[in-house]
Amino acid sequence: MNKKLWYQHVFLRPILPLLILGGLFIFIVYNHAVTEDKLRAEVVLEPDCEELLMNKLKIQEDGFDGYYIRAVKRGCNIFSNPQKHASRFVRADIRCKDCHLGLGMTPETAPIGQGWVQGDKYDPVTGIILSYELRTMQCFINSSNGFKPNILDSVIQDLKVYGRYLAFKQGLREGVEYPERRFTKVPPSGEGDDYIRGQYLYEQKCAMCHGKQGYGVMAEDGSVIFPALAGPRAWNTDSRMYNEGITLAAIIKTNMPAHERGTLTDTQARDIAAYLVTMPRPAGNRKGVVAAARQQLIMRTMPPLFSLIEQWKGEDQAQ
Amino acid sequence: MNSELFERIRNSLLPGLNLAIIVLPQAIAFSILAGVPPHFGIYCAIYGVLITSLVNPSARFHGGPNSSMSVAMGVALLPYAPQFGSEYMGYALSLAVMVGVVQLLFVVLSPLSRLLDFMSEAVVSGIIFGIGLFLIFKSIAPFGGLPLNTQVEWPLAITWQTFLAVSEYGNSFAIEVGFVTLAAAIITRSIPRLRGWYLIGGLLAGTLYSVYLNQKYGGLTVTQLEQVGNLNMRVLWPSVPTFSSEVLPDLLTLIPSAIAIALLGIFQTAAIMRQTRRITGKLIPTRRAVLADSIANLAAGFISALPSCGSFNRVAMLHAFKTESSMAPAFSALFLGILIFLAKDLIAIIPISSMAALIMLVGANMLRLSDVRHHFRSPVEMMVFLSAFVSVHIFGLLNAALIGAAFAFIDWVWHKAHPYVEIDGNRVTIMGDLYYASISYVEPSIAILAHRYKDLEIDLTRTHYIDPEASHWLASMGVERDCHVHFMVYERQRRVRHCLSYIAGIADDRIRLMAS
Repeated sequence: MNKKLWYQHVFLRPILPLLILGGLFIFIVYNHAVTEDKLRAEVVLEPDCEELLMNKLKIQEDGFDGYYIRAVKRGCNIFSNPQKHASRFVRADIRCKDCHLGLGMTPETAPIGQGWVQGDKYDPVTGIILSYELRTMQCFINSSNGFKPNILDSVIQDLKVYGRYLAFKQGLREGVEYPERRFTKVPPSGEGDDYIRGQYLYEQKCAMCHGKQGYGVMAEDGSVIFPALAGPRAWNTDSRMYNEGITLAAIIKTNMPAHERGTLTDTQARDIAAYLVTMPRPAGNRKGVVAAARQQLIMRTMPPLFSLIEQWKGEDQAQ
Repeated sequence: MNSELFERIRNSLLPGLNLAIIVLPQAIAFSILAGVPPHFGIYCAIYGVLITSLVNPSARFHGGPNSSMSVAMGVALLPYAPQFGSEYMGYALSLAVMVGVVQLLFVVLSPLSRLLDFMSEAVVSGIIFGIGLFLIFKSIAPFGGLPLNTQVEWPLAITWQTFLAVSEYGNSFAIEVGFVTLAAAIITRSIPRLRGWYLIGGLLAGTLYSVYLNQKYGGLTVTQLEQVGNLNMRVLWPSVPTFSSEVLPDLLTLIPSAIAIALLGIFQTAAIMRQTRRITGKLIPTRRAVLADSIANLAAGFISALPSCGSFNRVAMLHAFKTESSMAPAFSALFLGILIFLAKDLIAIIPISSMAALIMLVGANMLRLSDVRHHFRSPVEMMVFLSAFVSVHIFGLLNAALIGAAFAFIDWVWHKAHPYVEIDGNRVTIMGDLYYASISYVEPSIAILAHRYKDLEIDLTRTHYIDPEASHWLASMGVERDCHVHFMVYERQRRVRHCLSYIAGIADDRIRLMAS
């Protein structure tokens, strides 16, 4: 009755857990080898990175070793197309270069060389001092609505190396707060920010590229053509663009509309920013599970509902 | 008398020594979980154990460092200051005192301590199961020699990302040491004679392997193996918790966390006391155990110690030794003190990945299916267990406890509102309590009878309580149908009679008093 089964023998009992451990160990050794191979492999640059690094900055002439140059190239690739080169950590259809223009080189659009030289910085959102790496990690969880890579992950290290390289090429000094690091402030007008005016402006000037509901446009291979400004694939409610309307207004004023930059007035940029903030988007990590569920519900139900209402309206007008 | 004392001392020495050896790696590992230096856990294992075993009359119950409280502390303090820093330690000490105050409130205010009885075992099991898994998740990064991500994120998502990170670029030496620790612990555990020594076995093997790696590859600068470091221990390390006006706003925002950590301690202590009562048959009120915890936690803020509460595995060990005197935990404190001063240099070279592997084993130990299988026999209990377990990973520890308690409470209310109704001829017997919410459940049975009979008997001899609304409903029964309704109660049922006569105003001739 109480006879032990063969696998319950004292010498066999640890076999299964030891086999699982062994399997895990082999998996880790294999993954380490794959990662090492990836870091040693030659990097195929994105077209805009090719233009910047090879033709404009001429990285091959700077005398760096191959390992460093590959890291800079990988960093640039991530900056240009995170959906492809850091896909595990990104859930939004928006790229680093959509806000930091010129692949992080254009002044007054938070250029990353100027950001790198500043090093550790007090972060008013989290209330603690963040290193450059941690600030980069914030972008992944907030602006990209994704997951934070570990601080030692090659994604973070490559972006750091890329920032340092840009700082070196521009002759920037460590620790200096360069005024062009910030986005240009967009002062409020006497009329105040009006999201209804913003909606009208958005439909006139932005919707043709980003879509009426701000979902953006993606290519068939998954790369971003026009970034998403709202909806499930947009930045989340923990990001600066949501919490600090002034940052979003500055990005709009400086960068948009792409085909006629600099044509928007301060008030128009602020109105559009006010409208974009009202559009549904994912909740950030700090907002908690209930807020996340609420935002998801809004995002999944409201756009189809509005489409239906507009369809009815169209039918009524046709009749 | 002297020989009896001598016998008690002799019987307490071996359990005490075992306890000291088992609690040492836990003390260091839990300190790392809480984000404080190892001496916090060790002082808790010495003074926390001593205080709780002296205040609590149980021979087997004692406090000490606790995994879930340490994890909760680490999570709560993470946004306030960098871990292992002096500012962080100040917050940790203040939090320990706050936990002690909350627990003291539970002892002093009896309605609060009565609330503990609503915390079913399924909730506590669910939380412990959830914490077990959480401990494994939390240890993945240090196991692979990677720094923990410093900000709060969806725990399950970050766990998966961390696992991939360790597998891709974790420190190979740290991973090897971690695996050696796990393998040695598993092998030690499978040998019946050494079963209780598996943590020590794993730790020893991991440490020796790290020494070998450091010698072979040219030292820590090459292997980058993080170690526990010098303990810098004294007999006592007096400290003052920070309650200055500068940190007061932060401390106010820490109150919910303090309540959560206090409740975690109370739940575990209550569950252990219930278990101990079942095994020993000795009735010791849970409040005494919570009082012991609260005193230890109030003191923790002044002696640089972690918050303390009962531990399932350590108390289980004393059950195994059939300890009959609270001297065993006291001896463990003494032995641990001696051990620390003798083996200080050895403890300093313990690699962190080995400690992480041990924490994983402690977590895995909390995931025993045999302990929770009985919760799956009842669908409601299963739901309570699962909701508490899942909630730990989605809503956090305090909310998990509240959600589990809410489910258990709803189940209790549901059963209270559904008395058993028996019909025999024109007699309706109501067994249980009659609340306003029960009326809609009982009414159909009575309505059918009221159609058939002009004379109805409601047997309330097995009814324990009638609330005012239900009393009025009983009084108005049969008025429209011109039906005579009589109520049967025992003379001794004063509460029920009071409800019928005084609150509902039912005439005495309608109430048939029966002898007991």
